[in-house]
Amino acid sequence: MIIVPYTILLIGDDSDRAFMEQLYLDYSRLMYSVAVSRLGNPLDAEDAVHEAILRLIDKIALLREKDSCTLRRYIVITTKRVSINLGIKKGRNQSVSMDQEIIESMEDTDAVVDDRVFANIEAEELARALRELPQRERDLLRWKYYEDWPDEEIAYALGIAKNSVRKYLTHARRLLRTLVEEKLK
Amino acid sequence: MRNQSPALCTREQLLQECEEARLRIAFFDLQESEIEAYEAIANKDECVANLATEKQSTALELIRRRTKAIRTKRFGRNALVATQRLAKVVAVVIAIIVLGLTTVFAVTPSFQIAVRDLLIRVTDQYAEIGIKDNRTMIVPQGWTGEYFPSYIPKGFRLQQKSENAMAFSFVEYKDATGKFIIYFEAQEGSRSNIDTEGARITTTTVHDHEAMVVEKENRITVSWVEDERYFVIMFDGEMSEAISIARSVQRVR
Repeated sequence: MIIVPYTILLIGDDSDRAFMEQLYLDYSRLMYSVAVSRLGNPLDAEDAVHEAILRLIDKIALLREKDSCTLRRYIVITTKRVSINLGIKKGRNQSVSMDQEIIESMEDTDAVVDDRVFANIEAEELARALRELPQRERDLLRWKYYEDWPDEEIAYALGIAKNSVRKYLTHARRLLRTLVEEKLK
Repeated sequence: MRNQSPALCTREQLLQECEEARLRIAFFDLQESEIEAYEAIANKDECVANLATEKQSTALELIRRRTKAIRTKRFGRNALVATQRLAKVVAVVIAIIVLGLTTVFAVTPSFQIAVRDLLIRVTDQYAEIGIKDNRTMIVPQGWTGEYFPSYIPKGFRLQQKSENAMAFSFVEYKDATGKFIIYFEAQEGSRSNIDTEGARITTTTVHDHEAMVVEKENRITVSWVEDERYFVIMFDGEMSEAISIARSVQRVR
């Protein structure tokens, strides 16, 4: 038996409510899977999924326009983002793999984008290299370049100053470049 | 940079944009494989299956524990945390098992039923115990729950109710302005969440049981545990009215 949160039941428009009910029936397991994987705690996962549903309800018009693949990605990204923020609120921040001291001591001039080595790399190769990046660096690049998080939110998620985000990005991209270069050798 | 016309960008900026696009494609591919992994977990992992589907959950016990925590710590900061947690995790289940299990009524078919009270009269010589049927109240026809509020404010009409006898029963009333009342009762094995983010949470008593009152954006939710069941009233109006509805809930079977 699938249970549908009351927040969906309370949607005033019949068509919207039916849409969200179906969405919940189709994707709730995936959402719980994302939330449990990220938070590790079933109760927190419930909170995260519920919060994600609230966010999705706010975007019903947008969701209706998306094809099933895009919709699935959107739901996963939303659930993951909510789970990450919930984890931070609960003090379960991700393990720090970046060398914070080194990055903080970087001069601004070091934070120059120099990624043209990627230009000749197939996306599949790059994806493979991304898999090998430590999670924190991978998350940082994902949030910045794929999910379009604002710098404030990235800084909050990483527990760093907003004006340091650029340095951390440079560090992550250099690390990625090193991995790519190793693969090219 | 993406807000700027390419004609106004430097070659370096365009190259950077190109690299970022490449990164996005790589993340797109990466995400697809991650979603497949999540779906594999969703299909295999028992914990996920239990979260997403209704099984013999220990929700009622969880409520009991947390309600007790509220009672014992109600004046401390922990009380608020415990209450919020209770609210977030288990307070409200308005559950639709599958689509189509609720019935929407244009006209309200209701019927009167006798409300039985336990009668206990103790005299010097003996104690008389019995059941008296001395009141009647209106409940929706086919109501599957064991309790029902005897007080519904004027102007509210039945909109929908749970149709089959299951682990829970709920009913929704609305008035001409769109305000609603939801009454929900569940027995062991049901659970859901209530949005308490930014809500004001207090406690009151309903039939001598501790009840939690969540106030958010003019919506009042009163929930409590009684007789191995938990109850929820959601009301789009005054808190005092919501509590009155909650306190009017009585056994109808």
